[in-house]
Amino acid sequence: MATLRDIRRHIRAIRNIEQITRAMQMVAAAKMRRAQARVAAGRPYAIAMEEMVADVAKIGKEYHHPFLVPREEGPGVLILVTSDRGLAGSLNVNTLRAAHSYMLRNFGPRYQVVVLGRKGLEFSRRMQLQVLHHRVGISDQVGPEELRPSMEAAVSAFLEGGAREVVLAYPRFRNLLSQVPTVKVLVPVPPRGEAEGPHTEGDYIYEPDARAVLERLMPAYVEAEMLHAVRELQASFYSAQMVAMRNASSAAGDVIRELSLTANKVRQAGITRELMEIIGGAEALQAARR
Amino acid sequence: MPIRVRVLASDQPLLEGEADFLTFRGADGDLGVLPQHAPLLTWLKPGEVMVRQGDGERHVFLEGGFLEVLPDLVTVAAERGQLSSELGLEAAEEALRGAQERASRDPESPVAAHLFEVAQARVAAAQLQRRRERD
Repeated sequence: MATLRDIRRHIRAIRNIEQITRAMQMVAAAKMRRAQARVAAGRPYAIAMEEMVADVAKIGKEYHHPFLVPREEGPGVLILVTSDRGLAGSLNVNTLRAAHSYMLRNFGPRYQVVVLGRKGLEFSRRMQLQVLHHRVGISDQVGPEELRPSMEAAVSAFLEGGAREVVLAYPRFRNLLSQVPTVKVLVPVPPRGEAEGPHTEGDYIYEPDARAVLERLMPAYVEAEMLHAVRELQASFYSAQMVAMRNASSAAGDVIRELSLTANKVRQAGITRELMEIIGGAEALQAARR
Repeated sequence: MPIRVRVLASDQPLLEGEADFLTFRGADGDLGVLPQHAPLLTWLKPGEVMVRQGDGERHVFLEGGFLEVLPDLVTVAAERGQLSSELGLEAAEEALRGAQERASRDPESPVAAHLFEVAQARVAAAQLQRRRERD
């Protein structure tokens, strides 16, 4: 049986861990609120860019940008949006699993990746995927410029590398308790149903001309999607981390309570034993005197 | 019948509502759009988008972006932008000096040239805004 000293040492160690997890929980909570505000404020832009490109896919006829033409062959490119750090429950694992199974199904085990975040990079190395580009240390106040090299890597994999599809995977932030692994095809631009989108006769008027506008719009669309995915990740990450740390803190509390109980029992047993010894000794003395 | 307009920057929605008329700096020059305009797709030069509804005009400064006109909706999406009323002439001029310095240090860089162009447009927009506030 453990001695009282061992148990007390154990309690102290767990109390230290609890302090750390509690601090991490508070930090994550503060960052989560800011990240959540950013994801909400940025969402309309991402949706607008997506709709604009889908509109072009539907009514644009003058120039068929490569992003609008489905391909039969070529490798798959996965843009993997993960966090740098862990301690966030199963957040990254869920995203990686969903993305990997989609890619396996459609492209086999040797697909290409553009990786954001250390967790995704470790995964890609482990799976021996072809890493076209990777980026770690993305800031919380991420802006479009910061993602430009990553976007260019993905776009050129399609335009020059002959990829069949560019797929984006990230955890979508729904609420504090729910982050949904999301896998969506960015390129070629997925077609919309007949009923959706604008109903117009004829094509756009393009300025300066169809090709020039679309050659700018398409990369901007990929960038907008990536930017939004990173913001979704950040909100998801801090939520998941906050919940994970809250669970850890409360688990630590449980363990401490249990250990304290054991410690008290052991202490009580010690006291009882000592009393017994004293009484026993006293009685032995009295017996000897008589 | 007014048109629905939404102006969105990548970090925040800037303006949403109905308009009788709007103007902007398109790829081939300044343009105005009235209701029932034909579908249009253009990129934007750095500058102001003006949205008029009734007697009121609202101005938004955008660093570029794209504009799409559909029969019932005008969408303006730009990576960066802000309401003209929040520009501030002094801040804009300060930014222009910085951009100028960078462009002269690195005359070959297209990024520096672009930033300089944006900074110039921002100062112009801030000056217009100041004039409007005076009137």
